Amino acid sequence: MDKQKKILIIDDEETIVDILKRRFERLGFMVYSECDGAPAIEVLKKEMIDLVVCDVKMPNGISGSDVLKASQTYNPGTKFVAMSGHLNSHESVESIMKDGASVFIKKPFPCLTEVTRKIASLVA
Amino acid sequence: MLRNQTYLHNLKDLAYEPGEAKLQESSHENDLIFEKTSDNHIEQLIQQNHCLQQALEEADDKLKETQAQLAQAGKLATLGTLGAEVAHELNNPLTVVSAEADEIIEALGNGNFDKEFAAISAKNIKKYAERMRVIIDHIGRYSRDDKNSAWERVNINRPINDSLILLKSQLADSGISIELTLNENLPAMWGHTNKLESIFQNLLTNAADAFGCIKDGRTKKLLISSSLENTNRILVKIKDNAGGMSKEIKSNIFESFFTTKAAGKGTGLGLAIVQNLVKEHRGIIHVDSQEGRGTEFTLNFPLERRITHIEK
Repeated sequence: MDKQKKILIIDDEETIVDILKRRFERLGFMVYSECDGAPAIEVLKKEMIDLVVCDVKMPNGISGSDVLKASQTYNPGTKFVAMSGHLNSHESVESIMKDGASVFIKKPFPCLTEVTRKIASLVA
Repeated sequence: MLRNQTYLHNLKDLAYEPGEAKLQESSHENDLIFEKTSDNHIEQLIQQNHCLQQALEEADDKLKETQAQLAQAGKLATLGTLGAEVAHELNNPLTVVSAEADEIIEALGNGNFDKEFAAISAKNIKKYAERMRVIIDHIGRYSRDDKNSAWERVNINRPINDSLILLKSQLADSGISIELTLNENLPAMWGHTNKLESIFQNLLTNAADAFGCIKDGRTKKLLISSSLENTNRILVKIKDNAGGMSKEIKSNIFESFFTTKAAGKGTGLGLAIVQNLVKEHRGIIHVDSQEGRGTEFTLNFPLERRITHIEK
């Protein structure tokens, strides 16, 4: 990687954030991570992020779609990966893809190595 | 049998009312005829009473059976609604278990096995597997037929917390914040854990549904509290700030098959079941609602199994 890429990981499940953080650090990324939508939007306001990996459904009123909109506003051109483990999230997934997410990944991940490589390849 | 004997005694008492006693004084023959006729009449009445009592017992058994079936149907309907939420609740820990296992597999394959990292991954696998076990155990208890589970001493906070395990994700997804004020020093009450959980599942699902039509941007709040009243009763309050209900709706909410939800969404059984289950605990359920402002359900349970009166 010529210049260290910045990735922002958001999921309300802290351990999922930790696992992805470990992986992307090993892949050479500078990792920012949050467990809630509101502080994630603050990161997007301050940092030029190359890649956002975000859970679609999150508590406390700020969803993945809200983070996507903030990403498009403050970091235009940033690749956005939406994740969800929710069976009822079909509509939310369709909507977030329509709004401009690059990739959707279903949880649980079939294989962590493949998933993280696929995500990393978006900014290779 | 004892009841029949008592009833026979009472019937005989009735047959020799003071007015009829005059017959005994006026004519011995008449008296004999009267006694004979009365005895026949009493036998007939006893027979009729016996038949009626049998019919009543059979009807009572059928009613209890139907109530149990309705309760089971209501639970299954709730489980169906909860299916997607349960899957989500399991998918998150499953993601951790699967991803941490991948971490260990990759480290072993690369020859970069770091004991410290492996220990973190293994601990996470254990922790999240345990979380899945709790969820599955909970679903198992919830869907099991109540006939085989027992009445016992229950701390009311446990079924409240267990109900929230399955519902917290649904509530959070709907933007509802939960404020729990549970008295940690409550004495255990005499109750049935599964039935108490059904009560809270239904009331919390109802509250979540009540917020469905709220689009005015208000902060959606669900307050749940438990407390002790008069040293011998447990009080649980579930209060939402959703749309509330009209007097007319309020007067019907405990009726079976009464629902204001869209077709296919509500069974109309939830609150009827809740009321029955509260009664089984010799408790009282009270609803207070203001249209546009919210609804509060108050449950009041005695600590002990049997009480002779209810304090007001």
